Amino acid sequence: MNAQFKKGIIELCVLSVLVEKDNYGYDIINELYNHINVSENSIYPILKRLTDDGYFRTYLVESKEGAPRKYYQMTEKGFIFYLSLRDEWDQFIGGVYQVISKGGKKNDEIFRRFKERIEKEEHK
Amino acid sequence: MMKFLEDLKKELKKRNISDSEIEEIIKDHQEMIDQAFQEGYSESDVILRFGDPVMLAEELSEGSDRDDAPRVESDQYQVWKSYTPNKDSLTLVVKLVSEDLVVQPSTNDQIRILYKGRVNIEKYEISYKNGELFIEAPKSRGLSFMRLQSDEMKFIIEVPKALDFKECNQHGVSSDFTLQNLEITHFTINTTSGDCEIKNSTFEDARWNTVSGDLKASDLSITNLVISMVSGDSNLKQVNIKSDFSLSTVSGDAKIEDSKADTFNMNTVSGDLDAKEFYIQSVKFKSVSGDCDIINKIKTPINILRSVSVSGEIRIKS
Repeated sequence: MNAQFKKGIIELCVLSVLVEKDNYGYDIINELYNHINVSENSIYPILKRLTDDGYFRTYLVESKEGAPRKYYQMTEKGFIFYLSLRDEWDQFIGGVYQVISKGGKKNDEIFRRFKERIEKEEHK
Repeated sequence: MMKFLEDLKKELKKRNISDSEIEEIIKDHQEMIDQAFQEGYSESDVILRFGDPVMLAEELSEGSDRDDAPRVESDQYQVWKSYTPNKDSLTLVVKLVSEDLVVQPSTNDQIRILYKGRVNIEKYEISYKNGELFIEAPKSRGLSFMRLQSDEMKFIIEVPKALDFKECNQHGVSSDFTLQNLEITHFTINTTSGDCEIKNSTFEDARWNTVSGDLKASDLSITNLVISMVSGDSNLKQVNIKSDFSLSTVSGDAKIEDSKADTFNMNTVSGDLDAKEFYIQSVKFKSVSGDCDIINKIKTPINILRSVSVSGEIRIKS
C-alpha cells in the first residue's frame, strides 16, 4: 500500500480511538493492532505528531502495575480535525465503492462477463 | 535498558532530534514495552511487534521537521512571566509602541513572556486572566521619536500549540512584529511603521493594516485575508487563500508568488502588483496609475470581473 495513504488511514484510526475516551499508548496500539495489520512503529510516530500539533494533550496516571501511564486526550482542535478527516474519508471511500461495484457485487457474475469478453476478443 | 531501546536511542541521536525529545520517546517506549511484558510477551515478541529501530527513528525524524520556520532563540532573553494555561482557548492582545515582538509556539505547555532590553519591565501592563493574555507598553514614555537607542526593548511571547488560539490582536507604532508556526482563528495587525513578518501559519480570518511598514508573508494557509496598506510594500510567497483576498494600497507595491486565492480584489492608487504563479478564480482590479501583472506558467481561466485603471497597465496572462 502507498505509504502516504496508509499513514492517513492510521491517522484517522488513532483519532477515532481517542474520540471515544482518553487512553494510553499501549492500549491505543493494541486496539488498532487487533483490527488492522499494522506494527507499533507505524502508530507511535503518528500519535506523537498529532500530539505535537496540538490535537491531543497528555497527562500521567499512576498505575498499580508499575510506572505511571501517559494518557492521551483529544483537544477541541483534534476533534475538529477528526471531523474533517472523517468527512474526507467518507467521500473518498464512497467514490471508490461506486467505481469498484459498477460491475455488480457477485464474483461469479463478474467472472462470467469477463470470460465472455476475453473469448470474444480471441475469436476475432 | 534493553537492546531495542538502546538501538532506538542511538538511531534517534543520529538524526536531527533534540535530547529532550529523545528522552520522551524512550520513556514512552519503555512504558509500552513494560506493559507488553506484563501481558506476558517475551523480549523477542516485543522486538517483533515494535519492529526495526532504524525505521522507527526514520519515521520520528520525519515528523519532527515539519518545515517549521526556525525558532527565534530566546537564550539572551529573560523570562518575565510563565503562565500555566487557565483555559483551553487563548486570546492575545498586544499594544506596543516601539518594542519588537516575536510570537511563536512554546516548547512546553506554558505560556511564556520573555524580554530583552533596559526599559523597566515593571512599567508594562501584563496580565493573563480567563484565557486572555494582555500586554501594553507604558503610556507615559514621551513621543516615540524621542526615544534613545538604549531604550530598545524586545519581547518574545511563546504559546503552547495545544491551546486553541482564538484571537490575536497586535497594535504597534514602530514595533517590528514576527509571528510563526501557529494556528489562529482571528488574527489582526495594526501598525504604523513597523515591519511585519508572518511565516508558516494557518488563519481563518486575517486583517493586516500598516501605514509605512512592510509586510512579508510566507507559507500560510488562510480562509479570508484583508490587507490594507498606505506606502508599505507587501510580499507574499506560498500563501494559500481559500476564499477571498482583498488588498488595498495607496503607493505600496505588492509582490505575490506561488500563491492561490478564490477571489482577488485589489484597489490601488499608484502601487503596482507584480504576481507570478498566482492562481485565482476571479479578479477585480482598480487603480489610478498602478500596474497589474499576473503571469502564470500553467494556464487556467481567470474570470475578470472588473478591471479599471486610469493610466496603469493591466496584463493578466493566464
